[in-house]
Amino acid sequence: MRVISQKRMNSAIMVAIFLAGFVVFHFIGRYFVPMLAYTRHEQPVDFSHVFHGNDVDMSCETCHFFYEDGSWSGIPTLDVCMNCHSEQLGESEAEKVFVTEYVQKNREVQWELYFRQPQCVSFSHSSHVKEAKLACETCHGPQGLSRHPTKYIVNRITKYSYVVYDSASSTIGSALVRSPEENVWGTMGMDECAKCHRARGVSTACFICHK
Amino acid sequence: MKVDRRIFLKTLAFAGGGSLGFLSSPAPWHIVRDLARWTQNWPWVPVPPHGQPAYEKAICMMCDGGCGIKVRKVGPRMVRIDGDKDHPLNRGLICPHGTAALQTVYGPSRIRQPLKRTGTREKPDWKPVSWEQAIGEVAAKIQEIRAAGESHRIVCITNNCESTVNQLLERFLQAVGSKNLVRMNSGRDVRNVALKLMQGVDGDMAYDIENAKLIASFGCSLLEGWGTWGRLYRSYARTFADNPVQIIQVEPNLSITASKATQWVPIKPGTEGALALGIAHVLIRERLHDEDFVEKHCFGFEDWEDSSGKGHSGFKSHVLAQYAPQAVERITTVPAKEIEKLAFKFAENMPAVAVGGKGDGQLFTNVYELMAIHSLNALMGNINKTGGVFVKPEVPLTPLPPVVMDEEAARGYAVDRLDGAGSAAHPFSKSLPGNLKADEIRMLFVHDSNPYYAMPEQNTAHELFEKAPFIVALSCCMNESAARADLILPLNTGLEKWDDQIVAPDSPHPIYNLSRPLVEPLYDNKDAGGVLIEIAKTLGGTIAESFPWASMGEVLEMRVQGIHETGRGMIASPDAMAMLDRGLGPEGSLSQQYPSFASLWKKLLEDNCWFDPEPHHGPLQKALLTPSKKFEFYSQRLKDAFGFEEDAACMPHYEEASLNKDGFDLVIMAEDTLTMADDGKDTPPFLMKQLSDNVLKGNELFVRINPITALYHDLEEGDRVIVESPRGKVEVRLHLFEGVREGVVLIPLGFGHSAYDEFLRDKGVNANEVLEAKTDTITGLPIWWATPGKITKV
Repeated sequence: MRVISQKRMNSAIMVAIFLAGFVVFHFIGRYFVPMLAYTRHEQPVDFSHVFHGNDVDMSCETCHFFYEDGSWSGIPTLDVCMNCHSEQLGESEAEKVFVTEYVQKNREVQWELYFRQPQCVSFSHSSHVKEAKLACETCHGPQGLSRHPTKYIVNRITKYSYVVYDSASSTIGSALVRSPEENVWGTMGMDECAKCHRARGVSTACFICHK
Repeated sequence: MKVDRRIFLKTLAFAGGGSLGFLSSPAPWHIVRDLARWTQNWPWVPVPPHGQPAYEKAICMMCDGGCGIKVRKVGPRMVRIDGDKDHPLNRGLICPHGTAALQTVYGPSRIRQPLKRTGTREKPDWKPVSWEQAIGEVAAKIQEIRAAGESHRIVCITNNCESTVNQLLERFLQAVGSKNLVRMNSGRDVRNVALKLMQGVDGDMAYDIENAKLIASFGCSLLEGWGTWGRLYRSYARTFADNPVQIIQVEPNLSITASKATQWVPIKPGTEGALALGIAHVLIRERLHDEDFVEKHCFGFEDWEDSSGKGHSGFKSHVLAQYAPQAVERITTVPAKEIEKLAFKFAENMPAVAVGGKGDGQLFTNVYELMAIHSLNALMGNINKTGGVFVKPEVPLTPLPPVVMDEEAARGYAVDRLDGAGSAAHPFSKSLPGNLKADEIRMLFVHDSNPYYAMPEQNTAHELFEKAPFIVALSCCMNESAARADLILPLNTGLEKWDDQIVAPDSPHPIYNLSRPLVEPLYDNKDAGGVLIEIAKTLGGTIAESFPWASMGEVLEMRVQGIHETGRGMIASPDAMAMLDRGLGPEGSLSQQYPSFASLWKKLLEDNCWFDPEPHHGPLQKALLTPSKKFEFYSQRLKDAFGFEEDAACMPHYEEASLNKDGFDLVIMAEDTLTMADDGKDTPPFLMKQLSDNVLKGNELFVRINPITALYHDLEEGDRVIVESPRGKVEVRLHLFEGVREGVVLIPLGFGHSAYDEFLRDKGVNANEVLEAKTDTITGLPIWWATPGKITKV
């Protein structure tokens, strides 16, 4: 058996310690920090897009539509919901909570918003949907196919929010970091906006978004 | 533990590996990115809430100009104001005050509930009280004064708008037993007197500037607050149009109006009347005037004899003898040749209007100046003629029903006004707040005005607010006057209330603006009309009988029925205005378009404005109601009222303004600017941000003088100086500007508030502190356009 000199042994220990540090902190950086950086919230009301869209046969435009001046309605306010839900419909727990806690108290539902852009960005739904003919899913993902509200995942620092449609995705942060374009949709960053603009030959001049 | 070299090296290796490991993970890059994104979503930066967007039409209530506006709302919040392109007056143009009006709604100086003063007037403490208690206290005070038989000592100072609210205030005072509704003076007052003296009409002058080819403005700040800004700016825009209008600005200093006018005629301050008479001289001498009109419809032009056979010299001989261009040059410093040219230009560009009233109209030298200017309109026969001067038409509103008065009301109402307006001393004026005396007043209402700050007679104003025994302020903001009241009844702002504007200043068309609430009141405030109705109901008896309505909205609905009954005019809707622009009338009369009153009312609530494109002024005789039934160059009313022996005293003539005083070598002139509200109202913060560093720097106000004046006084740009007049002194800084006349110190109005919010309070000085207000002997109105002054370096 070859005798390893004390000196070599020491060097090997040093390399091992170095590698251990590397692995531990790489793991922390890759998995633990995202876990800390992102947090999950529940939406206040258990809303089903599928039920409203398929079972009740409502069109998307009933709740999400363009106003006369071209601005986007976004998430409906309580008035819109109350057109049907002024009284309890059905026996589900979610419906009961919605009617007693919100409709009867005339309290707006404080939905957690998935995709809101910061104030420095001027984003027009009209120009993207009406002019560029983008499908809603391009940016929002298959939100319309959800039976329950998808988990609201928000970055603690930025307040940017994300939706992970892949229910198997266990480590939230890592999923966001690992595969942002596969199963995660969320607040668009400038890179994503610019990438799409470039791909479609649309100007990426600053003033297009930052008025 | 002892740290030896080995442990140190191992730690170093772990740290090095850890650092590299961490750097090789995505985390640091994401943290950097996230920190950058964090700056975009700082939680302390306010974000406007989302909501349903909507545009609603409304009326700008920042002044009485009557411009139409379009308000963008997001959800229940108003976020932006634009001009209303379909409003007949401003057609989409609005001034900066209109644009920034939302800051007065959402601003911090709003009063949020009724307040009762507990401290002294100089250092007040405020206790919030309920509306019931506040109205109960006002009613109890009125009852007490009425029981003592002193109802005629109840006074209300109000704004100068023509509105139903002011009529209700007048009605309330009458029902209580007082004639003393005192309006703050405005530029219209002196023009009204000139109209009364020369045409015998009780009303306002209206100028058809839309059809005039030339506007001769004798010092009027046409683009800085004279009349309706949106309307006058349209006239300025016409100077570039295919069918252009010429604007001739006669003014000592290079104001914004002067700089944008077709021609600026610099003139010695206070001699505008003499120049008008010089022009009249040339018109008459060259027989350029409308001889037919003058012969048929004018009195006192030629020499004449009265019924006793006494000979009088006429306007013609008076002007020909005294106002030859060379003589006028000596008075005005305008070259004689220029005066000749001006006269020819005026005559060649018919129809032309001559307008007077310096600044926003309030700054006049004397009533003869206005008479001299108006005589140019008569000389050219431009009375009641397209492109000329009209008497402002009435809006056919249903009149308020007769007031029911009890014994005390009848007694009090028979007593003369406390301000002397309409008395033998000042028979032609309607309101003279400067004549009020605190010791004659038992109760003072102050409605939507700020006399403490804005009255040129500052001593009178300060005395009123020190000594008046009980002051009730009806105000939406904590201004200087409200801050010295005993009780504040807070009002809704212009976009939260029911209100109206019955006529727009200076427009020959009858225009009715209806203002309705665009949003729910933000605070526990009410409309002035509603407050009066509640006080009347609490007082009961005949006073309550005189106010049978439930709300201000109901009063306005009742009044608009009058418009529906006449069936005239049109609602300023986009369709109707488009038809009008194409030279077509509306589709059918008003009654055909809106068969039921309900349909008209609904439309008016949407579009806010009714007007009559065909004004129906009637025959000239209706505009000439003097004793001679003619336009009077020689005013017989003036002769009857004051018994002047000299003919010149009853005719337009030039009187030198007394601006010389020992020890004062300069003339301080008030400057009306578009940016600053000079009527005591608040200037929104947006506008304060527009002021350049040579107008206001920090809290220091700049006055402007000519560099030559500075040279003679050994002064330089930016110097801190004391500007002193016989009235008082203020510390300001200097800005040198060649556009200011030599010997003039130009001090801007609207600064130096001690109330309102942090953006306006203590910014600069109030020009009224140095401007001395003298009283015009004929009108009783304050004369404060200029005052003797001097400058000393600090």
